[in-house]
Amino acid sequence: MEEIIKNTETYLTFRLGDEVFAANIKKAINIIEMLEITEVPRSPEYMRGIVNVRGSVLPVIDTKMKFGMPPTEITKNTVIVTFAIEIEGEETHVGAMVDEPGSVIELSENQISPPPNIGAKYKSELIVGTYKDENEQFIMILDIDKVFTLDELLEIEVKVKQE
Amino acid sequence: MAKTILIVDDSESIREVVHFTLENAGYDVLVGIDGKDALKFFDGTNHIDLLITDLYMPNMDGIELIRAVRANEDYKRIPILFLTTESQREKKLEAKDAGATGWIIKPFVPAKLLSALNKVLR
Amino acid sequence: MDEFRKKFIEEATDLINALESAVLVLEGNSQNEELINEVFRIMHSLKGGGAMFGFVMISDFTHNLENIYDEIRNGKKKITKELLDITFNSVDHLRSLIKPDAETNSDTLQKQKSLIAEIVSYIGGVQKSVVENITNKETANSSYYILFKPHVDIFDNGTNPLFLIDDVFELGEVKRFIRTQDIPELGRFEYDKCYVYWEFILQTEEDISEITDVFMFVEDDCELEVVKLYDGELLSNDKFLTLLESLDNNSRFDVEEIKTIASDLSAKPQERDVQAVKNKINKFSKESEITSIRIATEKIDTYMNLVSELVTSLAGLKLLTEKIKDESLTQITENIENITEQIRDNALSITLIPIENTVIRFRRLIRDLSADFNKNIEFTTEGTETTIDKTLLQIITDPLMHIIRNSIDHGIESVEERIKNGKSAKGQIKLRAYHSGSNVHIEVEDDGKGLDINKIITKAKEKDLISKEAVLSKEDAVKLIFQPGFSTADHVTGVSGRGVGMDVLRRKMFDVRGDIFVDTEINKGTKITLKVPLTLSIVDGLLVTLSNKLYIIPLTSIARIKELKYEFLKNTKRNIAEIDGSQIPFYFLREELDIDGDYEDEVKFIMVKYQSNYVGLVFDAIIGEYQAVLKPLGKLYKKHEIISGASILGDGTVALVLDTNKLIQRFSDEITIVNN
Repeated sequence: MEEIIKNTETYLTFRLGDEVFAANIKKAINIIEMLEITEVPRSPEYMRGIVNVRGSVLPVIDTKMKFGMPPTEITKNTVIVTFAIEIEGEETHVGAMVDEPGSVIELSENQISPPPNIGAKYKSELIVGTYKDENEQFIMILDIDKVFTLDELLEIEVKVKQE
Repeated sequence: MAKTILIVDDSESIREVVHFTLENAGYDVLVGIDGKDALKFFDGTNHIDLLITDLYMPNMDGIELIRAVRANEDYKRIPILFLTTESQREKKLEAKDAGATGWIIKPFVPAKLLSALNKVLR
Repeated sequence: MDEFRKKFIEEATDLINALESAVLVLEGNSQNEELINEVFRIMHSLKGGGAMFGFVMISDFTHNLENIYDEIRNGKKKITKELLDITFNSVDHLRSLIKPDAETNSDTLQKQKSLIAEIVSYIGGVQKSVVENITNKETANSSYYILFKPHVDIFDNGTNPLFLIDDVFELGEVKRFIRTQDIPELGRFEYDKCYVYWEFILQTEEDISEITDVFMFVEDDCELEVVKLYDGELLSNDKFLTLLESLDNNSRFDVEEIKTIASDLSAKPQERDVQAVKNKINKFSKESEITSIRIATEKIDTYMNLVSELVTSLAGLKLLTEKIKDESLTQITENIENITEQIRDNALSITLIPIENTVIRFRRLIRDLSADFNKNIEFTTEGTETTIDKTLLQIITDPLMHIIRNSIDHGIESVEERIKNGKSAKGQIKLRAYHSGSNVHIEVEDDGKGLDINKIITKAKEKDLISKEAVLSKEDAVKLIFQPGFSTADHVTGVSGRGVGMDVLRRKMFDVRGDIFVDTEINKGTKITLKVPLTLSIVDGLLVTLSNKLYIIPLTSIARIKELKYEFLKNTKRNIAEIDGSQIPFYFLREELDIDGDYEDEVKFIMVKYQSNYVGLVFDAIIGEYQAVLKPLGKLYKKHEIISGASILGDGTVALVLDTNKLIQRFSDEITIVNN
């Protein structure tokens, strides 16, 4: 993030249900078509399993479930976005299932609004900021490391509902 | 059939310890107290598979005994081992020239004696 | 033997009497050859018998007198009054030597010394060997080179060269080289010929004639070369051995080369020519074939990954080959399979390094810490040539370091305490490594105070790790030290005792599919054993299915496989089945792992080792044995102990590798909770 030129950053957007999120493109490795998932028994429900990506094993996370939404129903639009995230100081790859990939957008610092503090569904540290695009679509910019490392993304009440 | 070994030594204790060791190992043992005494066994009637002799003995020493045995048509091919201490090199050469097959160095433990025998008795 | 000793004493008494009368006659008749021979013979008999029956003082003493009379016998010396006096004194001395207290009586010992000194001065340096024998009883070892090349027909006269080789070994320490390059091909081979020859480096205190004497009786039937290399020990010199090996090309050595090495080494290596020796070694290692090179670890990692891919691709090829059923394709596939296996083994062996590399660090640690803690510790090692995957070695180094620290700090007592407890002042820490199946075991054993079980239990109760009423077996109590936040140290020291460690250590071991065991006895010591797999990357496994999903069980953990009726298992009480007379607890994996579907009538009952028992795991079907390239599931699954990784099959599907130990541990923990 040090290489800011004209204070702009590039983001990849994707859709989860009705909501649109964005993540810094530097964290995204690639986008792959849905592959056959091998379930890993006795793991949390949002961890859908692992896939074989050209001979390597990639864990796949149902991002929607991680955000407390109903499980992803796999359609022809569903893809896996591979993110390089940092866990305990080590880089590791995680496949994030999303309902649909969006586009790559370039945003300058002043285009991004601070995350809303009150009445937010998601924990505040997850959200770096928000942005409204030309179609008035509200986009939440994520700290993608936190998305996959925090045990719980939702504020408490919602979690109780989920159980 | 058990092999017959003739042991010749003027020292009674050495004779006995060798005798004892060999008999326990299943050999038939004949005993001579010096060279002259030992010669009586080489009369054509005794079968002898091996001679073990001391070198220094009164009356007839080991070298003379070895020469006498090698000169005897009936026994000239039997293996002969002599007992010696440490590096009596000249004595060893003399014994070799007289016709000895090999030697056993004193002191020896029974196992060493028997392994020496195995080298010549086959 | 006692009986023979008694006999010898009788005989010696007679011999000494005979000696006395012979010397008496000799006094008036000093030219009598017969008498001189008799005196010599008596000395010789006393010497031989003395040595034979354990009268060392007699044999030592007569050895010296015998030498004098040998000289006289050969006319090199004349009998003098002085000699006769010495001989009479010797007769008296010999009489005291056959008394039972001879070896302890100070008068006798004193007399032995003074008489031998007299004899030596009488010989006056002419008989050098005798002087040496007395003044320098511990004759030093010298090193020799021996070539023994029997003529091909040496067997003809009844000589067995092997016996002579035995004799060489009896002379001292030997390094033997058997040369076989002259053995002809089978068609020209004759069974009664000797085609082999030998070279030896011999380290012995005997002199060169003793060596040539071994071959005295075959000297006409062989080529023999005996060369003194060095006045000292070469076989205990690692540098020499290394250089010698570099010269060894399976054929006859160039003796001059060996001599050069030996003389270089002998040139006072501490001071003068360290550099010269070093240069020599460097030169040699450069000149001779390069036998090892250094490779960056990343390259090895890449290589290992490629090999993994190759193994995976091969599996795909095999599947295809089975489908196509073409004979020549099958042939090629088999070849590739063969080669791949070899490459795999080779790749594995490259990543394995001896643990010696790490042990060096421990030596230093122990020396430094011993001083810090005022403890006297001897560190010994065994099996440090044992190899282990380099990654694993890195992983276990810190745990081992921690264990050794604990031993020094808490295990080995202070010198005063050890002496008070009747132990040797010096504490022992022993590190022992060995391969066991596909695992490496590394033990660290000390002879310190051992773990105090009662103290552990009290501490655990204080810390609420167990209930106040709990009664624990020794084994269970020992396991408490692996609980997080547990430490029995009375006071925290700078080295250990902060209460972190053993729990972290156990987790580290589990992370690599390893384990840790503790064996302790109060006041005797503690032994901690680390068990780690040889390698992390490849598992020989059995491919099994549940609802068409694939799982791999490592072959090493499988004891037996049975085909059973589902009905039979379903009707057992508390999931314990009687199998061939044994009660085997078992788990329906479908339920335990929460997998959809139902068992068919016939199920596979896979018995795996668990602790010292067998436990059954019920699967749908067995596909076959499979060599799995283990891929980690990644950090996100790091808490997921029961799966040790995944493997990608030839057709691209993914199979999960089960860690049966942890699996069963998990299941049984859950059951315990339910019962409570």
